[in-house]
Amino acid sequence: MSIVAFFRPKNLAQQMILVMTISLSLLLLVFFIVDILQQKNLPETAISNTKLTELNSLLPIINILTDAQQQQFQDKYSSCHEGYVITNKPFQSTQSYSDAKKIEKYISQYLVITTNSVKISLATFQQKDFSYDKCGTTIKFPLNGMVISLLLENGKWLNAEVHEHEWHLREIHNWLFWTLLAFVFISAVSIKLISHLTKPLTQLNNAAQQFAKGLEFSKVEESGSPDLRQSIKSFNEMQQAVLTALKNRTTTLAAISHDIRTPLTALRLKAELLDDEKTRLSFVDSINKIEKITASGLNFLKSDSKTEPKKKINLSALMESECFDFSELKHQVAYIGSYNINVECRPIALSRAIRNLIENAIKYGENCQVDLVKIPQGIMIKIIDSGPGIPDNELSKVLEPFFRLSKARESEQGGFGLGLAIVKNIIEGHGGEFWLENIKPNGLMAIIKLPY
Amino acid sequence: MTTLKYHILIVDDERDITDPLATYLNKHGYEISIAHNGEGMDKILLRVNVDLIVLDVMMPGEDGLSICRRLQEKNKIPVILLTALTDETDRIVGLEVGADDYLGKPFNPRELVARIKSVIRRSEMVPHHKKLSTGMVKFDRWRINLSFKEIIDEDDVVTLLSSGEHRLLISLIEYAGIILSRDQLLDMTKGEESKMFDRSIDNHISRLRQKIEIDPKRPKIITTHRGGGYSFVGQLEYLT
Repeated sequence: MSIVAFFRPKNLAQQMILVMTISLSLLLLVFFIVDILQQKNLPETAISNTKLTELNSLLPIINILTDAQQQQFQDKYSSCHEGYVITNKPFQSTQSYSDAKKIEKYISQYLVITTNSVKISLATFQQKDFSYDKCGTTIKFPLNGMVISLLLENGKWLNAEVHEHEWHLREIHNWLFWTLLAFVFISAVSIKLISHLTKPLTQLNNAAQQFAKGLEFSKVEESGSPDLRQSIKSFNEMQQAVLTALKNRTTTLAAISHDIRTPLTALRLKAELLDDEKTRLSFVDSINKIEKITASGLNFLKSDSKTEPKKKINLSALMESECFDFSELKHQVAYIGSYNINVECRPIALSRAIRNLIENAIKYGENCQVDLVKIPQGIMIKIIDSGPGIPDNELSKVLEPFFRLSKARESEQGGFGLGLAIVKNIIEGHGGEFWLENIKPNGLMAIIKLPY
Repeated sequence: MTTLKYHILIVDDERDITDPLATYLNKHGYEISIAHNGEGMDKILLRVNVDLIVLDVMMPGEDGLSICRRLQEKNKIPVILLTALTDETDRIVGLEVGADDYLGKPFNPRELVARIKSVIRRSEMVPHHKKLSTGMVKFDRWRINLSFKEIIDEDDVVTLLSSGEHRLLISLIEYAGIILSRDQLLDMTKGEESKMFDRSIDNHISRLRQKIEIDPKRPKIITTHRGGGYSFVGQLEYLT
């Protein structure tokens, strides 16, 4: 199963390579089958054009040779696959062959000689026969075959052996070697070409992933085939459109949050002029709530921004200082982390995130411990309270913007459902991770991991 | 004793703000003039001797920052900037154009009054002190850009200061060598957070020492004086 998964193509380039490999293999298979089908049986080999053409050209030459030269011909010309022996009598066989006459007639007609000058007989060859000793060990004996005997002008007979052309081991080796070589060469060239062709697709994919992660515009170069070009163009346009929409939304929210502040200031001033102290306080209270909402909205919008420059800061000092601010306001907040840990970050955003988490811890858990340690890949911050925690199935939901736990839990604390979303945005903007865990028997732990 | 009433000029395009603010400040014993833009402000400045200007940043026409810059060049009237943007960068820009203080909308009117008092007292206390709301200063192993709430050590590692610590350090540097009483320091460091109001200066000094002194038990930069007072004795170097 895992092997199948391993070979399953993971991208278009691999798919194309797989298709190409399959096509090539099929092609080779077809060649192989055709080759096997073309194998001739014994009589067909005997009367094949190749054989007869050769005999036709040999016969007149051998006829004009002297006896001694004929002997030389027999020794020199014969090879493993073409054995010739010149004898006084035609080759004699013990096996009877019913089709002999038919073949003899065909050959005599082809060579334009009398039927009597041709003798066909079946034979079982041993290695010592003909010139099979030249074959070495590649052919297995005894070997079934046929002998064509032709009468020469000097009364002697020229005996030519015919055997079934078997698939020799060595030939298969050869064949395999060359096909594999061709295969590797074609594959190498194709893979190079295919990866070149699919490169724009890879770039497109990377850009899409990047975009999903950071929502930042990165233009993909338009290259490749026309349809691919069109896709890339559309993708670039889509990026722009999404960002414009996002920007419009952000601008609108910012404008609302921002513009509300002037009338809110006016209201605050007018409330201050009220004579009735009770009414004044209730006014101020309401105004403060509205202000908090606009502020958290603005903070949420800001938490996304990466405009604040990164700096290497003493994070221990920053976190201890935050804890101190809270403990001065009579909250039980203790810093229990290491000292002098320096981290590259956006300090204002990061302190906002830590402040939000401490505020939450105090709000729901009354006391709070803040821990900071080095870990192999960076640093880890833990903010731990001893409150009631959060139901396990809502641990990740509370990180979504505007998510509110049940009214009872929220009570009069006046959250706006953005605090944790702000933290999440800030931490993810730093390339870090943020999540919540319940601790037994009671309490909640907020964990932040930041890379160095 | 008849107290001389301080004259405050409010510059904001929103009548909705200027009018109740004028009434409110008037109730707190200030003489008030109102202008709705830079031109109006200039006209008033010609005939009235103004002690402090409360200036809105976002105004149609000439904006608050440019007005503030212009004021610093001509007459050194103290300025408190008001803005709807409470971003750190706005604060820095505000201080760089020479504002004496900065308040984000919507502000607590009581805090504005506290700031007005603080700024006026500061401008009267040592009229010729070196005003240091911007610029780079070096002392001990630290560098500080005065408009940023952070100090940087020799390895370029940044340590962040809280608003209170920052104000305290700046005040001490501004009056380097001079002994400042707790009351004076409290006046100068009244920060934007209301929690600063009743917080003891000693606490802040000890936190600041934790951050800047090598041995906070034996301070070499900020020293304590008998009878209650602190002074900045570190070796100061002004960088351009």
